[in-house]
Amino acid sequence: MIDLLFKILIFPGVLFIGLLSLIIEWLERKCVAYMQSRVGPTYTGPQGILQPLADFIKLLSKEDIIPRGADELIVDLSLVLVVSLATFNLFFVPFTGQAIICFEGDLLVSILLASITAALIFILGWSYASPFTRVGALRLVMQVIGFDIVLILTALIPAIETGTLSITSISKGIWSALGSRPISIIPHYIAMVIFIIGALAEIEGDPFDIPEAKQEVVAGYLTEVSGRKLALLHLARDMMLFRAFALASAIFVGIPPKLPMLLSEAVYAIILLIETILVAILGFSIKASTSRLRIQDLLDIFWRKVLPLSLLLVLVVCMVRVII
Amino acid sequence: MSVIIALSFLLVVMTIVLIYITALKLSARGKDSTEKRKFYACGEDEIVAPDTITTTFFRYVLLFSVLETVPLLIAFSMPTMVYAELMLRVILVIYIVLALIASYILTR
Repeated sequence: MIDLLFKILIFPGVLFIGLLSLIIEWLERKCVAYMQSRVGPTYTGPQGILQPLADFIKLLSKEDIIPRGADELIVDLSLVLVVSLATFNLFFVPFTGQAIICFEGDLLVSILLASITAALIFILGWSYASPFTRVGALRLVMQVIGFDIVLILTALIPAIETGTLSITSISKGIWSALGSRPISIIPHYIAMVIFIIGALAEIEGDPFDIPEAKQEVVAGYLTEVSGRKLALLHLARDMMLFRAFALASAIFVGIPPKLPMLLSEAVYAIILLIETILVAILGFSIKASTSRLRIQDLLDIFWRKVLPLSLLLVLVVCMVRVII
Repeated sequence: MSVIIALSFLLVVMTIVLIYITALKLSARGKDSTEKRKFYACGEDEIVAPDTITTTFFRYVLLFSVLETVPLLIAFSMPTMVYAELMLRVILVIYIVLALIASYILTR
């Protein structure tokens, strides 16, 4: 029981996830700054690594102002659930070689929990009853409609290759699956790039920052959010960022098959974290080198171009699986 | 596994609630005023928030509903499936056919 509590609350649970999410935010700020010829955070901690933590604590200590007309109960409930689901969703990622929550089908559950988190953010934005939060919330929903099916389809590709819908099993089996059918490598890595682009849309990173486009809707659904609520929403966003890249590295890169027998949980975690950082740098490069799309362009690109491409990849992988 | 799932979620929610309540106790408190609790209005006197949703992209929304509901049902019924492996293959084929139809409708 104590072992389980340690896993849930400390490693690889809430504390580990929270700290790593803040470090991923620091990495994002540093990478994007580097690509834009800036220096990024430098002051707090070595190379500014503690800046996201300092920002989090600062926001927690600021006054929490709720505008008149906002539905406070719904705002509080949806905010707690958003942060909880963002944290809980990381329990499906096998940081120690075995996820805290692992069952056949957890891949789909994880992706759909991310969609539910987006729905809760919509409820949060709508409950503030401000024009900017409502428009931002509506834009978020349209964005989810754009990318979610593509995320599901591309996540199915490693699932079909390994014959399982469990993230842990995919992570352990993907190397041998690709090794036995090398022809799948090309669709596999195309799907990985599409998944990362979809993940960027999920976390509203450029070019998908439509729900919080500053020049159009101020800060979108975050416009009226302040103090501890803003701190927790930023933390949730960092967790979603971390989860998106960690999931991509777990299911598309996986863990080398010969190693698991020899490794302790910490070494597993280090391997997956290195993979996550590399995938994150790829994602941040896309983010830093693109400009914002319009909502109709996003829907057109995802539904008319990326969805058929994803389907084609799924069919190719299915055929390879049947033939070889 | 269901106990672990329930316990994990409960502990996570409790931790977040604890942070949320503690932050309220520790955070700064200013004087309440009408001006402070007004909506941000970009320098204007008042902007009215939209209270209805216009579904401009209805085709996308409809197809999204169909395609999103299927994996949702599969995912949450997965632990109860007796012949999970066979069912998964059948459902995956049905899902791909549905997605193909959606893709055809949108690209024709």
